[in-house]
Amino acid sequence: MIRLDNISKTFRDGDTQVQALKNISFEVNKGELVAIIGKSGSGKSTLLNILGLLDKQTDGDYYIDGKKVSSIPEREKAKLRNSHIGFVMQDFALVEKYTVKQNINIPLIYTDKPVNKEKAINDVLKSVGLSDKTNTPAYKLSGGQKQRVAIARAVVNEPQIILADEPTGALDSMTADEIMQIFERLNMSGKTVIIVTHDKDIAARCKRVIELSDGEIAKGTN
Amino acid sequence: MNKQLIKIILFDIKSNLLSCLLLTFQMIVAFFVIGDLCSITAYKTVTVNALDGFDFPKNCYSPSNPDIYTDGGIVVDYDDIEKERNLSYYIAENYKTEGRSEFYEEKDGTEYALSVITEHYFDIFGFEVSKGRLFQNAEYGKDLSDNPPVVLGSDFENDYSIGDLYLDKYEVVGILKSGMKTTFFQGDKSSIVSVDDDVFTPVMSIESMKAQGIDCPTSLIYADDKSDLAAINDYAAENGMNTYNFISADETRQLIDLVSTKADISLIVISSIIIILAVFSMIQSTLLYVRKNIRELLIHMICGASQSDILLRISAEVLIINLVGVVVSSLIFMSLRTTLVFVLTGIATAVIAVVPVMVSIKRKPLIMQIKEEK
Repeated sequence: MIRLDNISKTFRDGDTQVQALKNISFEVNKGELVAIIGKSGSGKSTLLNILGLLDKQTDGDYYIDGKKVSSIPEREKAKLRNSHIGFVMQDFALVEKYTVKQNINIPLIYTDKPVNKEKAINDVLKSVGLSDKTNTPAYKLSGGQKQRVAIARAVVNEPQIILADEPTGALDSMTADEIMQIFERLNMSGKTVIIVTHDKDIAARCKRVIELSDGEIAKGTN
Repeated sequence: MNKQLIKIILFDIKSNLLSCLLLTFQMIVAFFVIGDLCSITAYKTVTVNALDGFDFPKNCYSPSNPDIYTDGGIVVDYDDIEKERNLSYYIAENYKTEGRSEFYEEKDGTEYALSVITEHYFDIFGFEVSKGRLFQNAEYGKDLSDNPPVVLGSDFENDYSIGDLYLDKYEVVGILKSGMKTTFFQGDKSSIVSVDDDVFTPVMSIESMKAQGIDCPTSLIYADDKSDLAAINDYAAENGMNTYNFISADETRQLIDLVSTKADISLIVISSIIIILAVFSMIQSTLLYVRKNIRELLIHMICGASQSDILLRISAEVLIINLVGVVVSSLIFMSLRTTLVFVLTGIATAVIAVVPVMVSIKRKPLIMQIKEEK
């Protein structure tokens, strides 16, 4: 499903060159639940941004479903992001002024697939238990509710890959558990889920753990 | 652009209403100033020199004083109009002059203005008649007769025929063609005036003018040399009056050109500065608008929006805001000409304002910008 070949990422911080990722290579198969762990500054978020086609690697190749996506044009990357990848972020990444429905609708604005949008939105809202919040503005929701809306938005376009960046980082343990259950359900339904976290309990619930240290894989390529 | 994106744009404008209203207000003010300056500049550019096209004698000088108001050549001081009139008689007795001066005839309690004109006045301004004739040489400088001749402006064409009596006294000998124009001599402020509603009669003898209290026309005074006119200023000074600069028609023409060129250049400079400031202000507002909404734009990007989708959206929103500015400004002015200026400047500035945003996004992806924000 996903293959990284010697991915490196260097960026400039003032006068110094910082190597955020060094020769990262691994594969993630369809339907896997993978945790990427590591200390702050180990390169987890940079790796997730590259996996999500939001950032570009300096060296190496990236493949999705056997297709080399590391060098495709920006517009195609956007299409691929829309059709193949769903994002869940630590700070929920919701447009606060939008209603729940408007937030979930965002990926559907840019999709080429013929979709019954009303049905798709209602189905995902039901699956995360927020059917009664359809027209509630995002700023009126609790942290847990916001994260469920974010997950609903991530899956509304039926992508095969879910990328989550510290999805429970801003939540209490009970809500974090609820969110993890949703990820587990998604994984069981066949989605590939990759979670970046520094929480060892969350990582322990994943089938596979990749540990990053100083931009390199310290443990768990296979 | 799909229907959903249009909805998002309208929703964005609605939810950023205060920013949009402020931006629109800014556009209105900018367009107001730009439109006004463009109109003035365009008007100045097409305005002709008031002396162009007329055939003034070479050895004629106009009594001019740039600091004081002049009426038909001599300085008007309404507190002591008798002195001014006597000066005109002094000039007429000692020099040959050209020009016109007004006097009034009363009939049934109403005053009617007539202009006495000198011998070459019609020639200088190229007047032509549609009916009858102009004055004959023998009709100038005569003592007041029972039925002095008059030539009427074209506005009188339907009311008078040749041979009729104007005000029961003046015999109509000609009616001017429509659109005849003359120059009102006032130095660099000289202006073109229509004579369609004027009534002309030939200048009379100085004695007759004195008897009736009519000023002698002194717009232009003949002199072989400008120094020959010094006696006029001596007379004026002796009688406690203002003195003059005497300038020829050619000098006056050059003076008008010089002043209007200066006016044009300063208007163009001011217009340009204001337009540049307005455009910079719009660019700044657009960038602030983008900066304020950058998180939202990033969210759209992670959900599948491409950079061109984002650009399209920003451009559309800025254009809509500009368009509102254009419509409101046009409604304030209610003029097709200014509306056209607004529409053109509106579209141009909106396009210019989006360019830096486009460059900024192209140079550094939004994801990088949002990271820096964090």
